[in-house]
Amino acid sequence: MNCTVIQRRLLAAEHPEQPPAEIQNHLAQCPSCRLWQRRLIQMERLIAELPVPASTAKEQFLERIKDPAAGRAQHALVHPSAFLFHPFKKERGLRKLSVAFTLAASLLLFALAWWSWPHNPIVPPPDISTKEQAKLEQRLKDSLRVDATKERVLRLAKLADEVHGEARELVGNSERLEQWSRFYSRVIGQHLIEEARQLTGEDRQAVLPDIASRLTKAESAASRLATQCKAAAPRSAAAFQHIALTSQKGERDLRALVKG
Amino acid sequence: MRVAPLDNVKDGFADEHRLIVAAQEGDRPAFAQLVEHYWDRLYRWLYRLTRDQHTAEDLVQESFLKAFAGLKRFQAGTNFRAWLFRIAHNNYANQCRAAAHRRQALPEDLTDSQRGPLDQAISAETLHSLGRAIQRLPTEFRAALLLRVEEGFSFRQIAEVLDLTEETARWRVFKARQKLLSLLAPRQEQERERS
Repeated sequence: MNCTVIQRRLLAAEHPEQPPAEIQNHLAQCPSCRLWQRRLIQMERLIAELPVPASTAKEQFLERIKDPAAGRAQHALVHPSAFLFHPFKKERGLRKLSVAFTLAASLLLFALAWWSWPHNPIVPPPDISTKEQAKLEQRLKDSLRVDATKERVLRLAKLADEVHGEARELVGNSERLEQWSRFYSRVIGQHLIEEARQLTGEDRQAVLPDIASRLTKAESAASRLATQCKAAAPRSAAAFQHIALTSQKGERDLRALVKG
Repeated sequence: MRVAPLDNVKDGFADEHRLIVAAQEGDRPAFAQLVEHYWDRLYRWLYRLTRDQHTAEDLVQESFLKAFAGLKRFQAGTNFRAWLFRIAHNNYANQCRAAAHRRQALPEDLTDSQRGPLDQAISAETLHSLGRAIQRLPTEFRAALLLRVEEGFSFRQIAEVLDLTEETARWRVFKARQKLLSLLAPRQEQERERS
């Protein structure tokens, strides 16, 4: 393991001061990583030592908790909410009654409206991932909604670039990243390559080399991210690895089509 | 039911459990002991998030009041500290949503006094830089890092408090450490050369 990997693993460790044996072996031989580890540990010790201004509300609050009667008198000193609402019991009872009456009336109105309205089956609101997926599907449909094959290929390549760029912003959010990675795989594997097969020889020569180069760059960026976040975010790393493999395979397929 | 103070009992965890059970049965002094025990750590964390003493104190009080009100729902035997911090984090998040976050500079007196014996070679300048660097971290990174460093929470517990996956909690601590080291590296280099 090289120094960068060691330092990343220390950054992702729960206890950087007690690293696993393989890291300790490296540290024993590498003064620069030892110094780096010492800085990290020192920094964390200093954070724990940083002073904060003393809290002055604790004693009053404790009194209030221990003795509710004393607490009521002191409540105003402790919590600003004390000024908001302190009615007498009778007033509070009337207020509760009026709230209950209003609520009952609202419920009755709602029930009447419900009864008289034509009913549709209740559809539960889609969760976030479903909404995101629907948006992705819409983008794919938009990309396919042109007559010319060449234009479809160009649009699909652009969509693949966008999805790849967005995926890079999702490090640490492994569920969404996996969703993006699956979609990326579909855009390239199921659509871009299939559409590219339909191109004429001339069009293949005109558009595919550039798209293949972009896929090479995407593969390289995704592989680099997979390595970088392997220690801290293994699921994200796996998703980036998947993106890298998809890009690599797409690039090979496209170059094969160019060659004919 | 009255219970002994935390300090008088050798087994802190067992005693905490006893205090929680007592508080769940309505024993206010028992809950007061839990408040006494956790106030400073909760306040410290919230101060670092809010950067304002009074806001942090209000949030601490609100968190304890909510904890007291919801104590019956807490499952005795599970992690009370993580539960409490989670309530505090929810309060903090609500407060952030309700009002624009007030950004304040780190009070000057914080870095000039109360220095411990730790690392005599570290100058007040470095300490000040560290304080400022922490304030410059995105709140979500700061919250996770401070739970790890000051409270010794595991990544799993941080995830529980901040309502994340364990992987995301680890990632946030990773990024916070990386960012802080990069901010402090030049200054630490100078310190090392001087010493």
